[in-house]
Formats: sequence, C-alpha cells, structure tokens
Amino acid sequence: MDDVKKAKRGEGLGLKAIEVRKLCSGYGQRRILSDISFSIKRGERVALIGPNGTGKSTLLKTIAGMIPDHTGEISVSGKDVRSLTDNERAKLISLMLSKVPSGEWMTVREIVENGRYPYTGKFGILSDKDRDAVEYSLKTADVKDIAEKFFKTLSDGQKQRVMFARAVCQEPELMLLDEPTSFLDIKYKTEFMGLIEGLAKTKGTAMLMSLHELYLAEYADRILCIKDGRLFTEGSPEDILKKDIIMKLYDLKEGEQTDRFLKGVLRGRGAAGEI
Amino acid sequence: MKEKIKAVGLLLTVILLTGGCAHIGNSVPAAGPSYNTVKETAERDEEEVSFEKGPQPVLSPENETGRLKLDHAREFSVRFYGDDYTLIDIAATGEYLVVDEGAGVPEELDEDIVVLRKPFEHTYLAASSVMDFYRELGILDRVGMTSTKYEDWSIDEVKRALYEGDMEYVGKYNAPDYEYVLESGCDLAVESTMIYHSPEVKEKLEELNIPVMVEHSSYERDPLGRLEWIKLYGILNDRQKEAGAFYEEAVKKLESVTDTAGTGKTAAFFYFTANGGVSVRKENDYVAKMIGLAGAEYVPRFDEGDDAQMRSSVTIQSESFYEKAHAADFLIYNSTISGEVDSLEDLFEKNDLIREFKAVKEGQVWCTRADMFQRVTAAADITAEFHEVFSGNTDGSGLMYLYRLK
Amino acid sequence: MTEKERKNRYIFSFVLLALLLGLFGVLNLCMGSVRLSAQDVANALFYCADTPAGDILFRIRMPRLLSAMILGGALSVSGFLLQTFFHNPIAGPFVLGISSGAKLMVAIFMILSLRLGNALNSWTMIAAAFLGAMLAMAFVLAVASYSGRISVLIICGVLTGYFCSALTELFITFADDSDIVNLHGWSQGSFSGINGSNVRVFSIVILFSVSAVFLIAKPMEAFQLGEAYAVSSGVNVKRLRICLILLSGLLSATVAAFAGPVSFVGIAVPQLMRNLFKTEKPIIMIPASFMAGGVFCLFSDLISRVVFAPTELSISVVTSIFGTPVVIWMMLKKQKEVKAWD
Repeated sequence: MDDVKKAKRGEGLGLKAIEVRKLCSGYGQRRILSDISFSIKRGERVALIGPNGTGKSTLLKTIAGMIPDHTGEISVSGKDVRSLTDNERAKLISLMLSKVPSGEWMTVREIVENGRYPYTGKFGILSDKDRDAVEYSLKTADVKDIAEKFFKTLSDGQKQRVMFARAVCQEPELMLLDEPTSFLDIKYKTEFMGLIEGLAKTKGTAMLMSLHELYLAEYADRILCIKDGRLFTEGSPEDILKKDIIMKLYDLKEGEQTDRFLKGVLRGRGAAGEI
Repeated sequence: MKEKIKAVGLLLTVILLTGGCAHIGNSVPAAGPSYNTVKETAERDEEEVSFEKGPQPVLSPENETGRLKLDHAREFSVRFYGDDYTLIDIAATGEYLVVDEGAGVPEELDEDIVVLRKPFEHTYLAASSVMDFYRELGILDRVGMTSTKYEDWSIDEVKRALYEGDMEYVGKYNAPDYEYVLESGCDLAVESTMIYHSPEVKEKLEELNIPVMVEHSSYERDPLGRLEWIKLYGILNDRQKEAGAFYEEAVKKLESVTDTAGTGKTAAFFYFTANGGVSVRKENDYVAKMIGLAGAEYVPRFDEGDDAQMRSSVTIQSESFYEKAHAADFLIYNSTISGEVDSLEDLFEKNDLIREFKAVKEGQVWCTRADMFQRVTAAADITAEFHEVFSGNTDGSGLMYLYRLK
Repeated sequence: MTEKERKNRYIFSFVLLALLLGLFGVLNLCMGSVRLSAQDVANALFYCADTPAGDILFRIRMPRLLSAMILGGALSVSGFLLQTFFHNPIAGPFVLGISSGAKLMVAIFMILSLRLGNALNSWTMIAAAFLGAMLAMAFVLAVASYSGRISVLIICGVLTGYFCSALTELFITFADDSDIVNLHGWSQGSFSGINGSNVRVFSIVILFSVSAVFLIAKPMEAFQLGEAYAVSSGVNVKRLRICLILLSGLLSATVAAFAGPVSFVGIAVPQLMRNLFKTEKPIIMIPASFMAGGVFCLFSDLISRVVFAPTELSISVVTSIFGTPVVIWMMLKKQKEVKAWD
C-alpha cells in the first residue's frame, strides 16, 4: 500500500507514469511483440496505431497484466509491475475495452462503483471516500443524470461513457484504452476524446489508447506506431501523421486511391478513412 | 391479464400431468373376448365328440364338449372341443388353442388365437412363479430354459437341474439368448405380463415360430385361485389327474389351517424402498388374503378401488405407514426384493422410526425367507406358518418360510 | 429506480421470502398424507408427548422440511454460481455432468455391495453419490484449469454426462431387477429418506460452503463485467473460476448425495430472484437464492406429498412442472423487452 501511495505521489519526483523496456510478449508459442521500449509521462495522452494483428491489443493486455508470459521490464510510477500484487496493480492501472459488458440487471452506478474494487474491503462496502470518488467519476464522464438507469437500456455512447467513468473511478496512474471508440458514432467519438483530454488535464492520468481511427490520433500528445510486433516509430502528431510514414506503416501502395485516402485522413480534413 | 394466462397455463399443465400419471401402469394389452366363469358339466374325460356335423368351424359352441371346473381361479378358463382341441382363455392376455399331437390346426381360426401344439418338451419358462407347478407335477425335465439365475433360485430341484445342465439360464426375460432358445428346439415360451414392457421380445420369439403364452396367475387375488392354475399346466402337459389331485389336497390343507375365528391381531407385510418409501400390499392382494386366512387382519388398508389390472402393491410415504402400522401386532418384512435381513439393527438402518412400533417393542418382527414366493404350491403351508406366528405358538425355530428378527 | 427505491425493493423482497419460508415451513409440518388434528399438533409441540403424532411431526416431517429448505437453498446457490461462471442464465448444477457422475457411482456401489453380500448401508450410498459427483466435478475442474474457454467446459460437461450414463447402463446389465428399480427410484430425487443425523451432516457442509461463497461475492461481481475487466480490477480470475466450480460442485454433490438429483431448482430460482430483486449483485443474490430455493423446494415437496397421498410424486417431476413455465415466461418477457430497445 505504501509503495503505491508513494508511486502516486510520483508527481514532482519526475517519475514517468510508465516505462517499458525491451518487452517481448505473446500467447504460448506465438511471439507477438519483440523488443518494445517506450515511456509515457504523467498526464500524457499517447495514441497507439498500426495494422491489425500486429500487437496493439497484445501490448495493452500485457501491461494490464493479462499475459503473464512476457520478458522485459514494465514499471509503472517507478514500480516494476512484476513485484506488485494484483490489488496494487489495479490501483495503478485501469482498463477500457471496445466491447461493453452484457449484464441484464446492472445499473450505471453499480458498474462505476466496481471501479473502487481495489480500495474496498472483503465485502465491497463503500466508504465515504469511495462514494466521493464515484460521484466525481460520474460527473467527469457526464453520466450523473443516468446513474440509476439499467446499463442495458443506454445508447452505445452512454455505455462507453459509463465504462470510462468506471476506469476513472479506479484512480489509476495510467489508463489503458483498447479501441474505445470503435463502435461509436462520430458524435460520441469526438465527445469521448474531449473526456480524455479533460481527465488528463485535471487528474494527470496518463493514457495509452489504441486507435482504429487515424484522424482521432490528432487528439493525442504523442503517437506510437506498432508494426509486425515492433515499435516502428514514435513522435508527435505533426511528425507522425505524414504521408510517407503512414504509407510505410500500413503498407499502402502508391496510387490515386491512396492519395485520396491520405488527403482525407491527414490533418483531419474530410471523410473518415479507416483501414 | 398476463397473470390469468399464466395461471391457466399452469393449471392445464398440472391437469395434463395428473391425467398422465393416472394412466401409468395401466398398460392394458389387447384383451380377448370376455369369458365367463360358468362352472357346469362334467370333466372332459367323460365325453366324446364327433366332428361329422358338417362344415362348421371347429370352435363353435356346438362342438364344445366341456369346460374345466374352477372353484377359485378367475383369471383363466378352459373349454374342451373333443380330444384334440382345448381352448384356454387367459384374462387380458388372450386365447390359446392347445392342439393335440397329430391333430391338424383348424382352418378359419381367429387370428388372435395363439396355437400351441403339443407336446411341449422344451419349454422356456420365463415366468419364474410357474416353475413350482412344474416341479409339483414332476415335469421339470420338460423345462429347458429359465430367466432366473442359479443363485436366485431357492428350489433345490431347480438348482440341481441348472447345475447339471438339464436346464439353462438364457438371460433375462427382456433379453433372452434367441440363438440358444431356437437351437434347443423350444416349443413353448411361458411369459409373465412383464413381457408387455418389452413387446419386441415377444414378437421376436413369435417370429422364430415359438408360441408365447402370457400367463396371469400372479393376478389372482385368492391364494387358492392361484394354486388352481396348476390345472392349466396340467392340461398343457397331460398331467390333469396329478394337478387335480394336488389341488384337492391343497384345498383341504388350507381349510384345516384357516382360522375363521381370527386371533384378533393385526399384521403388516411390507418392505422399504430405496427412497425412504414403504411398499405395502393392497388389501385384495393374495398375501393380504393369506394373512387374513391365517387369522390376522392385514394392515395398512387403503381404499384403492378394485381395478384388477393395477399392481397389487403400492409405495406409500413413511408417515402413512407409520400411522397405520405403528400399532400392528406383527411386522413381516418382505425380504425377496432387497435381500434377507439379518437382524433388527439392519432393519433400523433402513428406517429408524420402526423402533417405536408396537411389534418391535414386543419382539414380533418377522422376515420372509427367499423361497417363500418361489414355492407357490406351498401356499397352504405358508398360511399355516403365518397362523403359527399369529397365534403365538412358535418362537421361530422350525419354520421354513419365516424367521424371527432379533 | 432511485437508490432509495432499490433499497426498499430489497427489504421488501427479503421480508417476503422470510414470510414464505415461515409459511411453507409450517404448512409442511402440519400437512401430509396423515391427517393430524390441530390438537395433535399442539400436544406434540407443546408437551413433547411421545405420541405417534409427535413421531410423525418430529422424526418424519421435520427432517424432511429442513432438508427441503437447506438442500433447496444449496441447489439454488449452486446454480447461481454456475450462471456467473458461464455468464449465462441457463446454466444449472447438473449441466456439467455432476448428477450423472453421482448416479454412476451409486450404480456401481449398489451392484458391488450386493455381490459382496452386504446390503447397502445408507451412509455408503450417500458417500457413493458424493464421491461420484465430486469426481465428475474434479474432471471438469481439470479441464477448466487447462482451458478457460467456456465452450470447452460445456462440451466437457455434456460429454461427461453421456459417458457416465453409458457406463451406468453397462453396469446395469449385471444388475438385478430390484437394483434397477432402486437406481431408477434414486435418480428421481426425494427428500424422504433423510433422518436427523443426515440433516446435521449436510447442514454443516452447506453452511461452510455458503459462507465460502460469501467470501467470493466481491470478485464475483467484478467477474460479471467480463474477464478482462475483472482482471483489471485486480481479481485473480483463474482462482475465482476454480472456486466457483469447486463450491458449486460441493453444494450440488451434497444435494445429490442425500436427495438424489433434483432438477430445475438451480436454473429457475436464481432467475426468479433476479427478476424479483431486479439486480444480479452476488451479495444480494446469494442469500436471496438460498432462501428462495428453500421456499421453492418446500412448496414442491408439499405438492409431491399431498397431491396423490399416500403415494408420493417424485420431487423432480414437481420442480420441473413448476419451474419450466416460469423460466419460459421469463425468457419471453425478456425477448419482448429486448425487442423494444431495438
């Protein structure tokens, strides 16, 4: 507990939110990621882009602790994740997925309250502090007015906001988001990116999100490109969202189609273009 | 509104299932024409018949030469048509025409009548309760096949026959070894009504040209009625005289031990099922009747109606048995289903509550020996033993069919 | 629904369940195939008279109604655990082949023991059923730790069921007719053969198990959100899965051991409770399922004893008759709601 508290007070100590060194990870025999190294500062929003199946999800899952079979170092707020208990890790890292849970009778409030899991006792009874955190999260994600509704009855956009509230409620140093906007309408996509920005600024939560939609990468502070399980390149949106880099990253062929697509994607102009 | 629909739907389901339950166990097989128990005319041996009366079907009333006199049996009747043809009508299982050796099968025979051609040298006796009749008539050598194993027989002569290979165990009634049955030249299969649960077996036997007779003796309510079936097997095997003699003897014996005055005591006959239930006889069952003849009142009594097709036992709840039998003077445990019980402790194991019963407290708990049901012909002797127990004349030693539990 | 409304709903529902438990408890005590007058009952209760009525009440009916309550509750909780595990409301305790395993072991014991000359002792039969159920469950557990995929487990459960049934049929060919009847009778399920010492034994086992279930209520709730979210909350999902199967198996094996397989309770009751309480929070559902399972079995046992007195209907028949329409109705209701949201 103390370690985590110290880790959380990493602000001012110049500790990175997360540092990854020479990470190799995969499923059983299959090696997906090789030699990944990067770091993220507190309050930094990092987008993860690259072709499908090349390791974006795997990277997030490995950091989230779902793939124990990996080599290399991952330290969150200066602590090596391998030395942390499940509970300690949960206090530092929270997760958001593209698919929402399918519960018949769950309310918004109950789901958000679940974010307090690492902090509550044996039977999950919420303390005042926990309740405050829940209220804050509901407000931040703009779902306070639907807090008592059944999750199943909400729109997709609302559902993702609720899952976001839950992730916020966990008070993490680092939030991992796996294509969180994939299934949302444009309106909700942009709304969501606004929420992300708000959280980063107010709480200093670092965020690593894999994105399908290239034009959304615009909103990030930095972009990481993964290709064939390796870190292809990284940099700010100005550096990365350029024709030659994108073409190399996604193995696009020269031609009219490609040009039209890139014109639309780069610098956020025009129609959506998802690969 | 939705509530009403749900309630109606629920009610319908319950009604349907109740109706279904009421029909369980009522497997009534195709019955032959109804018979009557007219007991008239003399025995068959005294009449002659000629068939030269013109082209009439053999089994017409004009050609009938006599009927078998039956005092107590109700489940079968026999009509004679000269020396060559005997028509046996067994309740609920059909009609059987016994054709003498050398005689031809009549034309224009009703399709439902099963033809049994004498002689029967290799009988497959699947109905184990009939074996004792054959033993009594001295014709065990005519029985080649049985569906009860050596270990499960307690009649010595049968055991010896099985041991020496004169009789063979051919598998359970619902799965006999057809090849063996066919190869051994089986000419008659005597089955109990259990065969109706496996109709394909009956059909297969018939397909192999082995006539099947489904007998009904265990449905007789009267112990003497049951014994009278020996006459039927006597007719099949040319032992009518011996059968008749045995029967007269048995009637005399039974009358001598019948205690018409009654001992004024009550007795229960039962066994414990695996599920905590108690299986008891109905009051018109022949064991209950035997107990009555022996001078005690059978308990527990339930008003089940007198449907002859229903089984003779019923499984009741533990508390009903308690209510009706806790004050019974005698408890007789039926060991033939779940094995003999060695001591009272064993019985308490199965159901602890009987410790409180009057019969237990007075040391009047008895158990049947395995052969009690196989020795069908010993009905009179068994009744006599019941009588000994009920009148308190015995301490259990020297009894063949019962023993006392300590 | 506001939070206050929700709390009220919980309180109301629990009170309702408690009242129903009391009501059916009393009904089961007073009603039966033997008519006991109010006087008899009063005498037995208040004067502890050593009368036949007293015996019937305390040595037959009381153990029986306690069995219905406690074993019914156990089945219901067992069902809820499995439904959480499979993220599917149709899962039930006997879907993993556990009752087939119990039946197989009972069949083996029955035949072996008669061959060896001793009659089957009631404790031996209980031990046999329990052992069979636990072995079937251990097999499922082994598969579960090897592959967490739910489809694998379901197939494994179905196959275990078929395999055990086939083996049972094999053993039956060597059995006497009376064994077969006994086995068939056992597999129908019944609360009737149970005495006081049985009740003591299984009460302890079930008390222990249900307490353990309370301890995993919190991770269960996280698990309801899905495995990934559960892991991110800090739940050891592998260990939770094992606990869910283990506890569910323990509860249903205990029931199978003492009362034989009783169908439908594990599926229908938790579903009913979800609809009554309008929640699926484990910390509420566990006690709710337990109490409701007791009510359901008390009710079913009453019907089975009284409708065709003095004979008895098999308990599974009654639970299926009442359970099926309830589940169908609820599934249809759900379908309508789903359509409304499209």
